[in-house]
Amino acid sequence: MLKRVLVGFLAMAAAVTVLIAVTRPTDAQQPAASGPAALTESEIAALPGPRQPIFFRHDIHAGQLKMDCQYCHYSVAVSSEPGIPSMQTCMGCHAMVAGSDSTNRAEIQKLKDAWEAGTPVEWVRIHNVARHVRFPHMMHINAMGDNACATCHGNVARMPQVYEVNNVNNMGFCINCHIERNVTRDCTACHY
Amino acid sequence: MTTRPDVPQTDAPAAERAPDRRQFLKVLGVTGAGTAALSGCSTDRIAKLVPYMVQSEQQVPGVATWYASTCTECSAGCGVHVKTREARAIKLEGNPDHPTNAGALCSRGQAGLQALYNPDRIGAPLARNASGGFDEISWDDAIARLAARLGTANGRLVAFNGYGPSTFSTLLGDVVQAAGGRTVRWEAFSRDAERIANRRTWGRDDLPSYDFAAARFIVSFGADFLETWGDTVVSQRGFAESHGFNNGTMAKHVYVGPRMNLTGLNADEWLEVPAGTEVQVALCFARAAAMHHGSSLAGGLGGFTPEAVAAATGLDAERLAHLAEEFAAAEPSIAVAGGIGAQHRGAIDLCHAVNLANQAAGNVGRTVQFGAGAPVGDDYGTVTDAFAAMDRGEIAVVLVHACNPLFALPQSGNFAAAFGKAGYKVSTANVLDETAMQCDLVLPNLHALARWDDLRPRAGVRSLLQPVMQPVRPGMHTGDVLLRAAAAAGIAAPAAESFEAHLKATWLDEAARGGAGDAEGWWRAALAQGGVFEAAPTAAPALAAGAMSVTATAPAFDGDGEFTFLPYPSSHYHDGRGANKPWLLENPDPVTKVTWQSWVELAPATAKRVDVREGEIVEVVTPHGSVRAQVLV
Repeated sequence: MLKRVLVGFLAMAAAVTVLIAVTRPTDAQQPAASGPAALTESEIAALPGPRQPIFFRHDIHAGQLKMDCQYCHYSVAVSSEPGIPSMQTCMGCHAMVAGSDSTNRAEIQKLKDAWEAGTPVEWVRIHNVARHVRFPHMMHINAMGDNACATCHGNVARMPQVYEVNNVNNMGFCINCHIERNVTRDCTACHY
Repeated sequence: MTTRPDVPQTDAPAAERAPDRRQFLKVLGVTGAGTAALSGCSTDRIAKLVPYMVQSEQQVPGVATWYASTCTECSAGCGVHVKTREARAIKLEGNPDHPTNAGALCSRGQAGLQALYNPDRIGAPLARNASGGFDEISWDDAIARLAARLGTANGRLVAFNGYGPSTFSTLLGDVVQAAGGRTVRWEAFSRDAERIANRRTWGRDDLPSYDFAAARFIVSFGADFLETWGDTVVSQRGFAESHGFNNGTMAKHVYVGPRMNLTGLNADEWLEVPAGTEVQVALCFARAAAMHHGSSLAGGLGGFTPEAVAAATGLDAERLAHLAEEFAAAEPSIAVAGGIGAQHRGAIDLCHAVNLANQAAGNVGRTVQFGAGAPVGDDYGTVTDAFAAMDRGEIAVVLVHACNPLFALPQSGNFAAAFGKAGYKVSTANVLDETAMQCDLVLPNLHALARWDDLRPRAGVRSLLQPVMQPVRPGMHTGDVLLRAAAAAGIAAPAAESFEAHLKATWLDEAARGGAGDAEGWWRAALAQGGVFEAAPTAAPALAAGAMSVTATAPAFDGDGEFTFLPYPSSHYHDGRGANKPWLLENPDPVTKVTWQSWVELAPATAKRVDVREGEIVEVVTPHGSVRAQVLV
């Protein structure tokens, strides 16, 4: 009886360890820090996160080019919505920037085709909260200062494909941070 | 419930993944990012983020943008502030800067948003085809057809315009006149009796404005000023101010009429009189006022003593005398008549009596002021004349704008048949309403919230409308239609490339004549405020020659039977135009609390006597038509 319980416990512990080990992102999943290299199709397929209609690489834009998050996600400091960049924002550079290798060029061509056709690119949403939760971005950005984005969204500047690093739909995730920083834990702050 | 996205761990779209439980958990375990099952609030729906092609600089998603515009749900023309989110109007609020409503907005105004998003809206011009249905045609085709008809109308043209005094109405009137036709200004509720009475009393053919806020004694003879009569929002605000308890006093409100309506519910005393006998009470009040103030009118009113009137109406003489004296002594008082109480043969006498009461009590120039009153349309006679002309085959083209005559006019009047005899019928409605259904050409106008326009409901108030979003359904401003059709048909019209340009030019011209320096700045300020508002010049009229002749027509009703049929307009549906708006339908009628239907009211004693219970369907038969409806006891 005791042996069975012990075996069961060990199995569970092992499973939990495995789970913990593979849920935390490691650098092995990210490309090298200097000048993101082109990725093969199988490498792309192995990346976490949903496949977007255009393979937009944050590691090039935010990482290598060091573009500010708020250049594209413009309303994050003034609105509850972070803002998705308009097609015109993309074309601001890509009217001239064609891409450094064939993969990039192919993706940028998709953007230009969409612009010419007048159809916006439909990005797959990654971070979302339940409808009974209200999350105002501007309050958090203004309170957390620099590097606020990475606190919840992870090191996006190192991601070729964005994936959900922390489950933002998990209330514990929110509450833990609120406890740590000693800010409101009133229910109606977020549920109203 | 959530729109949390499905986060597929492979490239296969969600639909293709078989939700095998073991497979599901294994997949969850491997990557660890999908904790959907653990959080317990998820759907498998993928949410998409769709960016703008070109972002408006003024707009921040998640932050509302407000625009000032004007409500067009009734003729009052209250100012509204429109809340838009991501370029979609989501809420209407009153404009605090607007003198008509000062920030309030009635239920009809609030429900105007549903008219904007009405799923029945037509998105293209429609032309009647050979088999009796409608074909969608292009705007160029539609305007060409209209121009052709206007060009050959040769004066046999009539236009019905339900839009109030405005730059557009002036344009419509001018174009129709240049084409040799005439315009009938349509109003939802006829105030003919009041106008004719005003001519008789003061020789004026317009309506006064009423200041309920200043009055200390308010008496209404059937005029539902809190519901549909006159500028209801202005009346409501004034009433709230005077009838509220301030500094130890409040105004007294007396309602005289056969039926308890919302205005009566708010009264301190209800003088329940048989329908048509309100004039007696009015004359009694006028007599009291004349005697109190020593007016020369007292002579002609001598016969209307409280005792005599009490005998004629069934009221208590002492109570009547007391109230009449209060009316006479109040500094100032106000008496109003119109609305439901003035839709019978003795209505002119009633309104004249009320005018005399106001005159004798010294209210004219204080609570009753001429010069800034509500706009008047053409009277019922003009409307019936136009239809009679159609019936005789004299009309080649009829244009219907912002009104629904075939719905509003009584069926017993043969108006639908007359309309059918007109040569070519054009409507600018953006839904296929009763009138548009009978037309040959439908040119859907833009909704008020999506077009450039103005509205000048009375002197001193120039309200602007501006588009707050892209049109929900494609349409064309009727002003643009007129300009283009007139140009194509060779009819004289203002030289402007669009109605928007014409409107702005008109306003800038007025600004220049008014001495404004920076025209553009002035225009922008006007837009932000919702218009330009000035104090209206008021006139103090003198009594006309025939004012002294006082008659009190005894009530005479068509048909025989023991019941008097009293139809009245609903404060929610107005003249019926709101009856397709769910927000208004689900909103209980303030008096009866009924939703979603029409009803027939029966007094409890009467219902018992004729053995009718609430909810049963009765048929009310009159010489002018019949109606079946459920009974409310």
